[in-house]
Amino acid sequence: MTLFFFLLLLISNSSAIAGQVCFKRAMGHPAVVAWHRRAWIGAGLVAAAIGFFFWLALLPHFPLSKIYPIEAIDRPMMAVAASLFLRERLTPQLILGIAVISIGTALVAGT
Amino acid sequence: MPSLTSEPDHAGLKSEQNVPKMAWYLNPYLHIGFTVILSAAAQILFKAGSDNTPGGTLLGVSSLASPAVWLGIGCMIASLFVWLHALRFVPLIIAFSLAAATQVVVPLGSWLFLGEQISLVRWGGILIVTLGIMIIARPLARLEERL
Repeated sequence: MTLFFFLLLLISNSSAIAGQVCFKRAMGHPAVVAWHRRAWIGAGLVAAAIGFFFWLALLPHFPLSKIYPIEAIDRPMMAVAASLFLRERLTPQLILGIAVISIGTALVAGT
Repeated sequence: MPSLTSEPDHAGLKSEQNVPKMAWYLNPYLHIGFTVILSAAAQILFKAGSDNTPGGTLLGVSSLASPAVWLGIGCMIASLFVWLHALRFVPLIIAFSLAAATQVVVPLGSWLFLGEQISLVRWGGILIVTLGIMIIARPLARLEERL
């Protein structure tokens, strides 16, 4: 896999994660005004759609079993994003759980 | 809907005042479960639906002729709504990690309903994902018990 395609995969994943961060912003903040909420949900849907279309563009170029294991880095990436952009706390237990899930995901997706 | 001043604390388990009292069917963790089931159902319906339609070239547009695919799209939209409800109360990183259960439910569903074979390595992976989810869910279950 060339660096170029790996970057595309990374963009696809990052967009999907950015979408989730927007959704959380829409729902989680204590004092969201109604139109703010709608704007964050809209932004989240756009980001998720971008991620989805990048993924669709990549799919024909590789066998699914080659690129699907990349899903395993979803949760570690989300952990970084949530602590950076949402100030969510990472506990040792959470990090352990995410690591175990990622190993399992790589096994499920990669075989 | 009660508003939250801060997120439930996963580590300290001392934030019961932050988790509002609500009817059992509004429990956000239940809604994460709904999200998992709905999005897994969507994947299985997509697969079943697109298998029964002639292979198209343009991003599988021909699959849109299948009612199963449309049912799948409905499940997808419903799962977004329950997911958003869950995000009101649960930190994103926890909700997202628990949603990894989809990785378990989709293979189980395709085994049960589509008759797909699951390799031994994949069973192992499914088991490991389940273990990871339990590691994250355990402190949450204790938090729930205190309510």
